[in-house]
Amino acid sequence: MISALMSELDEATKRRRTFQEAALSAAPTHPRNDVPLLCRAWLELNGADWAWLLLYNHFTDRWELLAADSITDEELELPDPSALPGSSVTQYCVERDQPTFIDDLDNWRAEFEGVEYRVTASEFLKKKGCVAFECVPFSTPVVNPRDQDRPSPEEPEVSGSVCIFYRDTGKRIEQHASGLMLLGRMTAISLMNSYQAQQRQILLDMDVLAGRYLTRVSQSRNPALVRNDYLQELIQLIQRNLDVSYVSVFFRDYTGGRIECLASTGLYDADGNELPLANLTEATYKPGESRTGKCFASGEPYMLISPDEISADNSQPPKFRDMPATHPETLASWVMYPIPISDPSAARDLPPSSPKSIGVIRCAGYRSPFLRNKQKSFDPIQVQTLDFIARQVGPVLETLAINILREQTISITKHDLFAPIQMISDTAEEISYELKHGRTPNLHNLDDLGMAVFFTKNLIPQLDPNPEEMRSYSPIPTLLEADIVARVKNMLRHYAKRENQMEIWFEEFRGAIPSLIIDRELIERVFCNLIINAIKYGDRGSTIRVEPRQVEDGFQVAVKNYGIGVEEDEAEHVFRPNYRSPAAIRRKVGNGLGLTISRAAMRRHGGDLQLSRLKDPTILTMCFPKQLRYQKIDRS
Amino acid sequence: MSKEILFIDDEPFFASRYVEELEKRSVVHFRDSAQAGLVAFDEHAEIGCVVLDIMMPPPEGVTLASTGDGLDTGLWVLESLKDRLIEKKIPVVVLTNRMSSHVQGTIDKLGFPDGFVEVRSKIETPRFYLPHAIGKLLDKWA
Repeated sequence: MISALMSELDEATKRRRTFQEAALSAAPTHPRNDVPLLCRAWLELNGADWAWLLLYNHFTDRWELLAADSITDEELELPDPSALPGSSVTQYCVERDQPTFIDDLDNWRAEFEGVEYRVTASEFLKKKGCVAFECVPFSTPVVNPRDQDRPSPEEPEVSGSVCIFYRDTGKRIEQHASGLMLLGRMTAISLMNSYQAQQRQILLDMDVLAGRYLTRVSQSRNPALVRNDYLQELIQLIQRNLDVSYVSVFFRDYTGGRIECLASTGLYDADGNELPLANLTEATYKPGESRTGKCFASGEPYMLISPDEISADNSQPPKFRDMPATHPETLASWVMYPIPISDPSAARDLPPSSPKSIGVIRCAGYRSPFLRNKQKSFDPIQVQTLDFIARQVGPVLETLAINILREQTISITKHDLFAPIQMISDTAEEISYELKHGRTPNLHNLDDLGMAVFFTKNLIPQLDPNPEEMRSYSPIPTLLEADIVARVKNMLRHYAKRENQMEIWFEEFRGAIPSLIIDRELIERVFCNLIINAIKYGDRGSTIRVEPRQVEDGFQVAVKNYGIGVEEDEAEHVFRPNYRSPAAIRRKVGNGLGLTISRAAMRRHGGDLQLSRLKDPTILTMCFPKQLRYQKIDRS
Repeated sequence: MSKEILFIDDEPFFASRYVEELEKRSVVHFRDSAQAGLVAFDEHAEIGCVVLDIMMPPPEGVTLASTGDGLDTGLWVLESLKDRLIEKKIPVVVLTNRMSSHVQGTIDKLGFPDGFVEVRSKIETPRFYLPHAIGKLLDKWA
């Protein structure tokens, strides 16, 4: 008796060791290779006919088939993942938190009479020739310290179950419940090891990729091209590791105002039509849209970025929403994962309506490598892998963006400097020619010269590392009309006509604004900047109005124009350095510093520059406090 | 130099001096955006030469990234028109202040015939010289 028991114990220990070896040998490679090995080890250990490995998907709140040792076409054709019999079998086991062996499907069915899915499940299993099944739940605790910011750190990283099915219980090798639980735990750990091995490989690949492109960008004069090449390789890496067909990478522009699609393998509109890759303009999120749930790719019902998904601390993982079955990207087959802001202090500086991530990786068409390439939903591990990739990508994209911004600033500054210099040289030559031949210089040439000099001088503060810092400030008594407006108005009118066929209407300053103690140079720059902006972004042929007025606490000069205007969600951005609205970007090339510098100049005087009205007309108002009034002499 | 010229530049104020000079000799269709330039190219069959700026705002419907955020919009225009330009033998003067090896390199990669696209720096091209440069190009490709 004792020897028989000893022999049985030996046999069990041997079998467990065999399983352990199989499980451990599966650990260090890749889930694609390792999961089928785990299934096979379970079959051999228990003498079963086929096995399923199911995982609980926290994002879809479903049990999902991760791998199957022998799955039939009939199972693959199941229309709804929730109808998968294994789900109900597993649910049954998990509720009990212990291994369960059911060898009488009719009774099992009877036990839960009235619960339809279990009836369906038992009928389904019987149809397959199954006479019994055994289910072993498993889970792992959180072992990865990186996941501290997951929504519930207590949540297991992997929870699921192994289901093994018998056509003939005579072949079954019976195991003790505690032994099965131990094997379940080993399965979970093997799975985790396997996924971590995959992540280590991804980390290595991404490190090599980042190193190569960060070196290249430091030597390149065309960082945008380097970024494109990086993104192409990154997309291939994601496709390879996540088994997805479509990948798009969105990234915040350097002003933080938009998230634009930088690269994509395919995007769909709300009707499921593929967007041509040459035209990804629609693939741009405005901050407001990303918060309200409106999206280029899918329209309202399919939007995946919402306040739930990108929360203030980037902690919440994306969730899936129901999509119509007719949509080419079926339920849960696509995911938009935020690229987190790597520097929290930078995040604090962003206006409240800015996107709370620096970008998004969107993956669609996840095909299970285990289920004959069948399209399925992302399991938690896949999402975790995407999270892992997103964290690596963020700093690289930020570094590339900084290089692009630097190159852009240099190019734009060179451009903005060369154009007026060329005009100065051209007009100076003509004026000199006219004077040499005893002719009066052409008035237009003089206006051109004046504007070109203004543009050149206006560039100087933009080159300052801190353009908001007003280095020189020399206030003197100044009459706005006589000392500034009269000097520049013809020149500005000439520019308005040539640039955009516009007129400028200056209202009477006298009586409205007295002599003020101001820095004439700075205020002239603000005045000209506002009018030049109004010309550049105004409607062709329209009229700009410049209206001075006295108010209770000081004096104001309002510049009104009809043009592209300012959107409501942009109002708080317009004075930020380098900010350019999407409409402005489509109208003129620029550095986006004009309004920043102008407001700083007004504030240096104790006043302010205000956006008084967004559009039709857009009104920017220079506000001078009444303390600036010069009392002693009124030169008027 | 009697052929019509399509002049695409987003800064009419600075470009107008060139345009006025060219208008003394030829019909000039000035357009202040890449988008309007493409439309004008289709509308005017008599265009014999295109003068093109490089740094211009990206047109609506085109991703910012594909135009280098506007730094290379002219190159995008050139690529869009390439086949029709070669087919109709319409040479191009790229007149820009964005002088970089990247601009020349990209144009080389587009595969235009030798000398079909002439890249000129605005700062080194006085307005009275531009008609002369265009004339030479037209003589070559007439």
